[in-house]
Amino acid sequence: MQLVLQLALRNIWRQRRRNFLVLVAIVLTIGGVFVMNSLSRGMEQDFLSTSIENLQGHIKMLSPKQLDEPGLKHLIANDLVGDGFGIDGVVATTSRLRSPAVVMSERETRGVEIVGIDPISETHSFIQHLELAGEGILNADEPGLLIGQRLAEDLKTSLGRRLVVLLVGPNDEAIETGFRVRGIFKAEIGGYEDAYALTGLRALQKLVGTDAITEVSVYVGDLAQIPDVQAYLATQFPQIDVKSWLELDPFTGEMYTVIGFTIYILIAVFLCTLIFGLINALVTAVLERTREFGMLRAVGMNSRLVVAQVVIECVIIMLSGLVLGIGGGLLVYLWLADGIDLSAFAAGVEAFSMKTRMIPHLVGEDFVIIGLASVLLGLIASYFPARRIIKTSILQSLRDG
Amino acid sequence: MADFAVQTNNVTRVYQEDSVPVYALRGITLSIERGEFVSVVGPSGSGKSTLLHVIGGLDRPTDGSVTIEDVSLGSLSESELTDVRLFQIGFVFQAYNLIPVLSAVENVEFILQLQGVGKKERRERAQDALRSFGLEELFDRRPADMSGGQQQRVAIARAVVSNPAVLLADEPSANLDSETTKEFCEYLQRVNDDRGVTIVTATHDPLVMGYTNRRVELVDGQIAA
Repeated sequence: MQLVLQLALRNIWRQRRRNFLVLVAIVLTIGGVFVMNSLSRGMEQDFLSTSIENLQGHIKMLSPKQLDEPGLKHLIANDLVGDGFGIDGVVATTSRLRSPAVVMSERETRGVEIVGIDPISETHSFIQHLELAGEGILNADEPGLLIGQRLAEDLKTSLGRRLVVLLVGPNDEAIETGFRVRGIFKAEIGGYEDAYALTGLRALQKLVGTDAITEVSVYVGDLAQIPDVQAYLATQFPQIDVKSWLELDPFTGEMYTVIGFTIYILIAVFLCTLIFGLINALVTAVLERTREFGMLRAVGMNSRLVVAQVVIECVIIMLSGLVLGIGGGLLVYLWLADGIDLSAFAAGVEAFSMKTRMIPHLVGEDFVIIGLASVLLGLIASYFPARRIIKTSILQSLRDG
Repeated sequence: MADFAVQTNNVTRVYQEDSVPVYALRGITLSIERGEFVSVVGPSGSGKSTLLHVIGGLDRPTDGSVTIEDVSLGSLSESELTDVRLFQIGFVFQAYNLIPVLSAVENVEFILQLQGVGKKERRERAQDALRSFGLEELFDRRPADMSGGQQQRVAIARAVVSNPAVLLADEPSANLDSETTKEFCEYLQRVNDDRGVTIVTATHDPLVMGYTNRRVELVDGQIAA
């Protein structure tokens, strides 16, 4: 084997110009796959986190009729939550009371969703990332209103001003009350600024005259735990709907799944394109050395060693390209680690529920897939020239050279 | 122990060219004793090279049998035939056919490496073989940096370093001038005399024929009367 390795390395060096070009092609392809993959994974993560952080959670518990008739009419008890239900894998839970509402300033009126929150337990929603002007909601008893920058602009209001909120109470009664604007927030996704008006959970409960809530969001540490946690909660609370984020947000769920598939399709397409170039280069390289291979076989080198030489040459080039390609891809990844600013396309990006900064994301499993696929491709690519050598008789090889 | 290094019995080799059978060899029966230096001569297309290929196990006869040192090649698998070429036969080709990426000493070592000889021993034997052909200056030189004559001498060193029973040389002087051919033939004769290696060479060069003990003349694939 040492002999074969020595011959393989020297032959690679001997045809260094061509092999360099092949190597460059591999590096660019692997590096390109790596970067595309990390961006796609970033987009996938973005879809997921946007959906989860949008006051949803990985699992949501709510009244069975709440989705059909959102508001305060179909509530659930507020004493469900306690230490994450004591379930392994649940990292946070939070209760909310939310309802469609109309918010009015002296000059404008807008439809929003008023959400009563407990800010202490809102550790996994977009609320934790808000950029605030003013004081915000400090506890669940806080009676002030926190509105988005865009809503504030639409309503032509500002900090400290009063707004009137009109909503339908638990018994279909109209409730109208005044709130002081306690804070104005800017969110990563501008749509949140239009959609939500936040206040303290208990303050809202007091206002509408209930101790109940509309929902409990449950957050898990690992997506794989969702089905088990969901099944457990459904068993424990049969009178309540327990929905996963995929059921609540099927569009994002589909996008998430499609991106996952697309990543593998991309890897396959890139690597398949590469394999044709690789086979072409290798077949040419082998054809140029037909006589040499004939001579090696004539003087007593068995066919297995001759094939091994071609395969090793190919695998060495492929592995070198893999290492350099991943190295290059990592450098690009680090360069882009702070994300790509898509704010110039904010409207379009938000239409897809994405944030305006695309942050690449690495998944270890993809490294393994790209690595194994590349080595496998190297082996497949070397099969064709190797087969050609074996199929050609020694005499034919000696004559053809 | 048999008296003969090489025996062919009624060897026929037929090629198909556009479905037309072409007879390269027609019933060649030949015995070559150990230590003989034989030239196979004849005009182009007479079957000289084909006979050498069949004797060397590079080609299989359509009919008849070939025996090298009591081993009948016809019954061997491809793998066994490869071993016979590796251990029993040395080849010298018209076009030298050295491995371009290896130095002279590595080219000679190559055969020993295939035979599984240890690193130190094979290096010593390769250097000794090159020295015996006056090539000590070329140990580290690659084929591209050698003249045709030097390459052919390295090729002989490679062919004999493993002490084969038979050395087959196919038109070895075709690319050499007369002075180099003469020098080359003297090396072959030394191999024959000093090592007792049986040599069979296909040639149409009278200078080469002059060094051999026996001539076998082929005409149209048959031994001339």
